[in-house]
Amino acid sequence: MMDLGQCLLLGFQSALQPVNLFYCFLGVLLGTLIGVLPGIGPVATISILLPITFKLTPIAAIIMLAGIYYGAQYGGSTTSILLNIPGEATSVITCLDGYQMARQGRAGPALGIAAMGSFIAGTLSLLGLTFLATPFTDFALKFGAPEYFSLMVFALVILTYLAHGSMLKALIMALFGLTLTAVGTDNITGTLRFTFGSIHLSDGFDLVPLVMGLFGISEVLINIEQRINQDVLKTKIRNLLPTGQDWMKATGAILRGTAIGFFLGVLPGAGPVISSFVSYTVEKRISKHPEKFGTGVIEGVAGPESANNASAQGAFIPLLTLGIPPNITMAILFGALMIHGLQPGPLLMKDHPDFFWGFVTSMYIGNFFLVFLNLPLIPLWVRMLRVPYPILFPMIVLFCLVGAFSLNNSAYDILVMLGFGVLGYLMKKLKYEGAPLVMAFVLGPLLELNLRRSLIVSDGSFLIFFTRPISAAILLTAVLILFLSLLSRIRGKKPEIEEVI
Amino acid sequence: MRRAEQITCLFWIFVSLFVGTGAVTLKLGTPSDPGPGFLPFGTGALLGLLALAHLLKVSFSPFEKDPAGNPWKGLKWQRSISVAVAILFYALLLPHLGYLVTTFLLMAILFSLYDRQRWGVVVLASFLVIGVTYLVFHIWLKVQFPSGFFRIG
Repeated sequence: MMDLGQCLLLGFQSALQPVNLFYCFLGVLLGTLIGVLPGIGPVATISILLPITFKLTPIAAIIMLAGIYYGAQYGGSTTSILLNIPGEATSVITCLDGYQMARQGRAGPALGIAAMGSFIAGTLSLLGLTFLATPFTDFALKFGAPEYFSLMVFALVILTYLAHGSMLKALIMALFGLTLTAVGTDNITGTLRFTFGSIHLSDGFDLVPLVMGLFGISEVLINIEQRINQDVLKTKIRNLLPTGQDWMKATGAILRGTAIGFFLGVLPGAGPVISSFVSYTVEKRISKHPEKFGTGVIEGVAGPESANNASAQGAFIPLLTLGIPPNITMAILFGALMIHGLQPGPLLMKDHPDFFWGFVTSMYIGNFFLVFLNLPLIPLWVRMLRVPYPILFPMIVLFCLVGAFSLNNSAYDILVMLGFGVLGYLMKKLKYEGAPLVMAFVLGPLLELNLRRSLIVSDGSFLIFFTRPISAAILLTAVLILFLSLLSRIRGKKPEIEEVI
Repeated sequence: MRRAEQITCLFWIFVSLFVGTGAVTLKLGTPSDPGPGFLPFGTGALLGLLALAHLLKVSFSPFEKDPAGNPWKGLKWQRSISVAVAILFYALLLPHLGYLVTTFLLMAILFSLYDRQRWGVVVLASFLVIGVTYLVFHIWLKVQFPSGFFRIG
């Protein structure tokens, strides 16, 4: 077993190869760009670009896709501050004080603290990932089929609990996602299930057209119905470096935001959006002048922006060490790793240390790239905001079409993507969330395999999930969450986090 | 909105019945030897129960006006239908007309969907986008596009 120093050295050796550096840069550049542009987010972008990465090496592909994810957390703040429109859901809360700062002529320090807070939080969070990866992996090696089954059930329960709207609808979506995984060939017996005699369906639904449809095409269908506001606040952006007084106020918020974001990022279901809201709530609660929040205080920008970045990087811990994606983007990255022949989980670090540490260290490099992309290039990002949506959306559609087609060189995948695009459109209209569906779809095959293995081992006794301590603890926590959620709904409506704020 | 919710619940109940009966014909097996229909049957049954619970909830709870209102009201939903239909025809025509011709037609439709654009702009933009994607995907990433009847591309 290598020590941490050797691991990091191995990682940097891999991450600093020119080709990996290039894809890291490309990933964070694309991430920042789509973070800036309203109407397209990291989930849609990663889905759209996933087929392109099939031609790359696994490490280059994952470095680029991950770069899009954490790069978008940086980029989203620009539109929140300058337009009062969040480029990403993770930057919704930044609008409150960021835009007010811009109106007061302090757009520069707002953008500056957002970028620097993001950098500090991202780097600290990566340090957490670096140090915790080995203990997490060692712990996960104790897991057998029952523990994995329980953990996947737990992840799905948490995700549905934290769903934005109705938990019942989120559970329906998760179950529908599990049902979709049944289509195709049964992994254990080889029986064809729900294929209706179609050769195309014998391998089941591919992840790529499914996520491209649910997030890429449906987003376009929703956006083209309405007018997207692209009016940029006409303000001079100067003094990007915050003053000493700004730093005095923001340092605590950045550190608290980092801790909150990292912790919530590791937990399944929470993710960057909730982290940013929780950070804002905490800053407001502990402030001596909570009434000033919403009028342009720098803590209201520094905390949430740090939290969403810390959360984005922390989310890699459960994905890489336990093999459990804690949010929707990680679920797609989980799929991407599988497509590239890598099984996320405790054996990833043991069997592919060059990949694992190369990927982790590439994120340190990506964070550096992001600071240099964000601060000096802000005028360029502002200009990008003026790309009209009528020009942008045909290109998004074409990328989706080519991406879906290139999977198997078949127009059938385009039809599947369109089907899921229409489904995603209707789901958005009727307030059904796509995240539980995709999570369940990604985890479904493993969940079924571990369930059936556990039952075979226990001779059909479901007690196996409760007689093994780790499995029992995880499942009981999941049951407790479901019970508490039910209880709070019987007593009264569960308040949305935005309502709490 | 209540009617839409009820129809959606009925749809999920239909899906659950369909999956459940399909799972039974696949063979459920026993707990000690679960068959290929074991998990689909469980998920189908749970899906049906939850959809039924949601149906009862929306049908018997006091009517609350959705603050968001009708999700289609005041929006140009005809545009989304046009895009979906255009993609459908794209998928059907692609193997026959080839990538370059089909994509040009699709781009021309999409670029002129929002507002009336000058045809010169539409043609130029369509050519530009096709050229870039052809270079990136076909030349650089070696994606094999269909050339269709016209054998172009």
